Amino acid sequence: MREGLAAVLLTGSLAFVSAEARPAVDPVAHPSSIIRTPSVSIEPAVVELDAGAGTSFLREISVRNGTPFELQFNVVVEDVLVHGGKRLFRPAGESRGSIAATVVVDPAALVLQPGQSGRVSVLITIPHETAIRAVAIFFRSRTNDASARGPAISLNIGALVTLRLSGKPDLFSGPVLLREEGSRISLVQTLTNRGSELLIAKGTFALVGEGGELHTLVHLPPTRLLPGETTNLEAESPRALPPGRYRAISTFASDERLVVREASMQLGEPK
Amino acid sequence: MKRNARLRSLWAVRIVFFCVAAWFASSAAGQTLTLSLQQDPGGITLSGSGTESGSVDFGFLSRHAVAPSGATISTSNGSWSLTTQFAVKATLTSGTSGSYRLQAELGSSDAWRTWKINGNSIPSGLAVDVMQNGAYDSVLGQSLMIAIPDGSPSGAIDNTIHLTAIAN
Repeated sequence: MREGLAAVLLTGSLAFVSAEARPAVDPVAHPSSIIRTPSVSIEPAVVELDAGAGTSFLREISVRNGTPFELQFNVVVEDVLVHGGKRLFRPAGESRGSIAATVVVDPAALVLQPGQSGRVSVLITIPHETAIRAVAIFFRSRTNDASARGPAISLNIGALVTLRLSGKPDLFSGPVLLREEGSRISLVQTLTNRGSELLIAKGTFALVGEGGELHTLVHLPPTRLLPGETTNLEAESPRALPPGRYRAISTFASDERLVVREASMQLGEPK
Repeated sequence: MKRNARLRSLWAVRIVFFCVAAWFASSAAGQTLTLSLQQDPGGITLSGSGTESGSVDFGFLSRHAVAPSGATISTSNGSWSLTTQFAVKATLTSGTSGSYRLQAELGSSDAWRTWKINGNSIPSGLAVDVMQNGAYDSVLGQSLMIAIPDGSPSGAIDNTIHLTAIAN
């Protein structure tokens, strides 16, 4: 029987694409600034637009090559949709009301030397009728690294552009689910945006003892939810808790809406 | 006694609300997202991760070979697979994103082998999510598995895994 022999090689190199354009603005950075751990950076990572139908926005996005290799990127714009509560990325023009199809990126490709930054301008026009509230601007390499003798890992990056039009977000939180994890308590909460605009929910989980004493207060990172999107947030008490009855208070706020949920549970044997 | 407990409980709830309000006021503009490739302590040594150039070769492998350090070979009827780990880290300087998404895509199609990251099959020509809620500032291990059917052609596995990070 013939066996597959594989010379497998992992590199931190990046794949190459043929690019017609050179970086628009920034000069080559000093070689000494090259990060030893290969990386790529993008700024801004998120562009938040308060938009009206038919309006256009011009923004600049810059990318930095923190690898020891030349990077060649194609700029790809995709619509960000929600299906079944989950976020999906779809090519420009594939979806009704596609915003990505209106986006003009200049230049459409970048070649960045190690330590170098480059930037592109992005012109976004909001269609008159669209339910889409976000697009992604990806800087992607598309071809294999011809110099690699085996698998290589290529680092790519994207920026999220979000839109708020005239609709309203509607934050909904499900019940707080509590679980005993030894002498700790873990909490799970489902958040859903039932509205027609995106929202950013910020919140905390608190654990309060029988006497009202605060045992745990966990600040959760902000959660961006597109219309129809659902996410599960989880947290755990950072330290062991004494046996007893605990009340969990989940508090989330978005825009002018405050959502509070409570649940309680017995940790360990009751006294 | 009961009244005191109720008062204490009320104060605890007030403290929670105060903290939420402070948390809300902390949003900031100007956001730089950085994705870096990291060495996973349990994985194969990566080149370009902590070194400026070069690469580390797994060497020649077969289903009967001894796996190199940081990788494992598993065999089953009709195929074998190579598994290892690498890691990524994303940082965000500020802003309204609480997590990031990591996508992966193969640079070219592979007629013989199946590639998976964190259990997700990686196609070519389409980036798929391999991590949906990655925490910033954390080195997060990623499991890479390449399944190789018996009878597949011998030779180097030359492909590129394109990893893409985007803020949620």
